[in-house]
Amino acid sequence: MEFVLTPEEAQSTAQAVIKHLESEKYKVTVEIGVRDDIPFRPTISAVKSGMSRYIEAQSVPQYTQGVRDLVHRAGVEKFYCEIYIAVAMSASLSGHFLNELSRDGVGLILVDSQGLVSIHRPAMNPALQVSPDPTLKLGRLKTQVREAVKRFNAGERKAALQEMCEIVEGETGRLVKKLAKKAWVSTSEAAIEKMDWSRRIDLAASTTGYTGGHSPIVDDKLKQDLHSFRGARNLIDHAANAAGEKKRQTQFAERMCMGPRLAGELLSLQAKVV
Amino acid sequence: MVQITNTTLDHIDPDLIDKNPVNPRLIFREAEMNQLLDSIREVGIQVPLAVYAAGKRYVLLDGERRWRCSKKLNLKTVPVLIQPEPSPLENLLTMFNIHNVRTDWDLMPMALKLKDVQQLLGEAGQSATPKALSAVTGVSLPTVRRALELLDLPKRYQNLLLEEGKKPRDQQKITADVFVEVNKSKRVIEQYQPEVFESVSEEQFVDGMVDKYREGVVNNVVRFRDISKIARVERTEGDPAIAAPALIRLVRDKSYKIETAYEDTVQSAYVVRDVGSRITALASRLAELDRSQPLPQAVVDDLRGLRVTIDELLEDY
Repeated sequence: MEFVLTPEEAQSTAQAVIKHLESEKYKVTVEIGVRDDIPFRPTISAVKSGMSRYIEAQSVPQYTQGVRDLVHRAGVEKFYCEIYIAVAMSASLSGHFLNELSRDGVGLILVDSQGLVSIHRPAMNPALQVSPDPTLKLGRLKTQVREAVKRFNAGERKAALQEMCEIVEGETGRLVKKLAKKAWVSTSEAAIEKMDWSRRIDLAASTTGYTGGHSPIVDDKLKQDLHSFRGARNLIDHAANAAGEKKRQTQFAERMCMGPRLAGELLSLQAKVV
Repeated sequence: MVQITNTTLDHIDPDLIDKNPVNPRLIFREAEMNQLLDSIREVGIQVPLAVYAAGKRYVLLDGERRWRCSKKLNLKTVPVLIQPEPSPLENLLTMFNIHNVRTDWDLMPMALKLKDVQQLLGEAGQSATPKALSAVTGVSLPTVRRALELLDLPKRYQNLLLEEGKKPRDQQKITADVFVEVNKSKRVIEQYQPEVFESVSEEQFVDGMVDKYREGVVNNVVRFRDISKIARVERTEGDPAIAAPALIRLVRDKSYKIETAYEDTVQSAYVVRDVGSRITALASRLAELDRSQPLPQAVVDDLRGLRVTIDELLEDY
């Protein structure tokens, strides 16, 4: 491929990356705009199964304003993409440069003298980044939820979502056990112990199980959300084909977004059971 | 749209502009590009690009760096001065006059463009000598001569230079200077030691020297000048018979260094010649001394030391 906008010093790196992407069946174009209103054309744009990779090839590693502009827009508008800077392995990488890339989720590709390409730091997909509502009151769960979200954003999606499922499941259990303890429901704590998550949700939202004039503490909307979130465990176990991967990954992010909110709501409901 | 004589100021999509096909490849360094990108991002393109219309598109006459940056920045429009389409010769000369005064083109692409200018000048019945080429293109005469020299190279070497020119300068192993120097030494051999090319071909000679440079056996292009000195051994009153075998060995023996060949053949003869010319000069200067004035003691001591050295040298004669 011929370059017009890419400086000569960066072209061999760009060529090696293109070769690598093509070997991975990406459809590659060079020096085209991501969108008309973004003031930057990355060196390489590559697409496969709905995933876009934008790669800026450089000889001197720099987090340039152009890349920043693209990262900003991709983050704000949740582009389903990954943004990388590609440099030769011999290039000198400053700590400041690496920190900035990590902070903004920009990946780093290194190309060795033989043209071999390796992903030194994976990029974060803005569409899959989760940022919980900062006004959520998470109390004792704050650290646990923050860690799970951090892991998710760092790319450990399955493990993080699993962790979030466990948090929400645990808080559902705490709620219904408290309901039993405080005699809001007629079901015994021993019986609740034997229930699975689904039945515990149903119990908390049951219109018939409450005693002493108490109305269900979990409304229909929360019940639905909890059941929907519970389905995230199936996402974890279910292997998707390449075409379904984008959908699955997006669902991961959606579920992960729900997690902190549900945990917060359950925590708040627990406080109401007195 | 503003009309100034036959030039029009307008704003057009940079994607509608094509590079000028006669413009030798412009080397645009990353640091330079980032600097210009920052400037354009901040204040926009202040100086319009110069283009001419070609159908529904435009061809760039001036402003390739600004044009590249405008595309990198995904600008929707850029300011342009639309000029009348130049003739092929005018277009070429415009490229030379606009660009060459600002940046150093690589010699090989420039040589190929000079060849086109030569041909067009010839077709127009105008002089196409190196001097005339220098005058119309604004390129200095020595550069024109060096560039034209490259046109004598076999095509594969011209292609090699074009390929090398695509690399960053610090990664280029073979430059035009290598061929210019090797060619010069080849011509001297043709003139003074023609029998060398009865044993090895001229192409083998060029290949051999380029390989030596590539492999680091020759580490400075100026070293090729010593080959000319070896070939011109007769100027030193040295033995002419020693030059040809050394020159042939230089071609055949990949590890044989030029400085070794020089030492093996003509170095002492050149030292003698140099000493001879210095003796003549010194004798002449000594004769100019005013004998009525006493010489400083340091000079007297140096002269006495010199006399001892000279006496020792003359002992065997």
